[in-house]
Amino acid sequence: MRFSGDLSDEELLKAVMQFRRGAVQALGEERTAEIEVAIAEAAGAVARLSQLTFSRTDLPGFYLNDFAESDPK
Amino acid sequence: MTQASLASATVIAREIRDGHVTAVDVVSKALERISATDDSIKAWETLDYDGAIAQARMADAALNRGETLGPLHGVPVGVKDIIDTAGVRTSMGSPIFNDNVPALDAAVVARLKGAGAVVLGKTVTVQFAMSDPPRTANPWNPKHTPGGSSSGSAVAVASGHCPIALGTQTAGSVNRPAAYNGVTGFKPTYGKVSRRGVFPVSWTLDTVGWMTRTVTDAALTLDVLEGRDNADPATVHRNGAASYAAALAGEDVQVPRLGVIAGDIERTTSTEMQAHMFEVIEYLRQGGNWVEMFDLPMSYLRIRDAGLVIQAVEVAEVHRELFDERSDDYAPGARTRVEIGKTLPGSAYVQAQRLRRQFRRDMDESMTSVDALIMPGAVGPAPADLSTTGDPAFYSPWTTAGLPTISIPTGISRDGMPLGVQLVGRGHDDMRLLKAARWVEQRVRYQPTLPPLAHIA
Repeated sequence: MRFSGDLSDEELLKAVMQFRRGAVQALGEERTAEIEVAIAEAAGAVARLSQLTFSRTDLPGFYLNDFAESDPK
Repeated sequence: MTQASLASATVIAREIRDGHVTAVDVVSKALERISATDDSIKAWETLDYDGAIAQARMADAALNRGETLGPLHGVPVGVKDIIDTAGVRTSMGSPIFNDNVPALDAAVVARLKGAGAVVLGKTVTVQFAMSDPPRTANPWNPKHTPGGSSSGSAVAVASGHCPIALGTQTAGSVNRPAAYNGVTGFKPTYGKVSRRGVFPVSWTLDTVGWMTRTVTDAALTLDVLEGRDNADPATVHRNGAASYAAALAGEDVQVPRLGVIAGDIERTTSTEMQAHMFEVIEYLRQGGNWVEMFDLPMSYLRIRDAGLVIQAVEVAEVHRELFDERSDDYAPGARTRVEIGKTLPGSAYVQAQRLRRQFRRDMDESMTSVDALIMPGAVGPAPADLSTTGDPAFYSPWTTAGLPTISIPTGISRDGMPLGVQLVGRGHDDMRLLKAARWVEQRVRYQPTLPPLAHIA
């Protein structure tokens, strides 16, 4: 996994605006305006996660395994 | 001497087994205490007076025949109101389920009853175990939040209503209210305990946990609840027959190696909590050369984002049909969370799931040098803000990774609110975590008292 550093304010704003456009489509302008704080929080999370790069071949199948199935004993 | 209403489940079960008190006496006193205090505390959604007395009578009758039902014989317990109880209303904190009476017990309730526990009723949950403030009061000061979403369970245990109450955790819904109300809160490793019959928040995050008065009671409850259940494919088989509670008995719990989490956690902790944490660490240091600073892996930096995305997407799917039909009946926070989940891209969900597995792997590797991590039990004491259930930041990373956690009360703030520490264990090594927690509990020797609102005039 590689991590490309922190988001700039500009990148964050761009991400929020992009996410907001999707929210307006899904929820309408009025409802979107009522939940701006949650939208900004979610948009930030999506943008920060998108900065991570995983190798396509890293641990094949690992991501699809049952999450609990790691009891070493 | 511990106040009678603050006796542990271990002590209560022993007193009943030894014939010093009957289960009917214990349960009747618990119900009386609830009647006397719950108008102001509001920890209970539904009480099953008749059912509880009937269960207690059965426990006494069994003992009279020379039979013991199990390690919780006659012990009164509370159950969060998103966990099914046969014949007893289970409302999920929502008007939509106001008249819902399940036909079957959830797996955890069946196991509790099978071990002899007496279910008093259902404890208040935040609506659908999400984030809207509950009506429950913090018994230490009603101007402060009790935390959530397992608000009623934490308050019921703190107020001396019962020594064990079940909760659930998707981010911090067991550990946070436990910290805010001064009780022990334990969340086992994801997959240890079945969630059959538990209304989901997020399938890949939800874990049943519980509030107790002692670490040994937390271990005893895990003894009863752990195990594979085919109805919950996430569950794993029990690791051997060793009893967690028995392993903690006696005075010779080995000195654990504890890693102190600093950095990001330290920066966001309140000054008072930081000072308390420093005091606790210094005090614990006297128990041996056991402490080291612990550096969190890089994957930690984005793990809260992963938790947020996973939870929101799964919440939206859990509620898809119900929300389409009854969105007006959703509380504001629950409604917002469903709506946010509907708008999140699939790529973010996949990325979040990949990160959580990376973080879990990183934690498994980096925790080999320590038995458990130690950190403040919360960002600070319960905030004096009834519009929130508090900050989940200190819990969601570990829940997202499926790691076991335990909150232990260790003191009281200047304003009279509980303070505590949280320990984080290795995945699927709950025994090691519980032993470390017991050691901390023994060293600190903090004696919880009844909070002001729980005093009977």
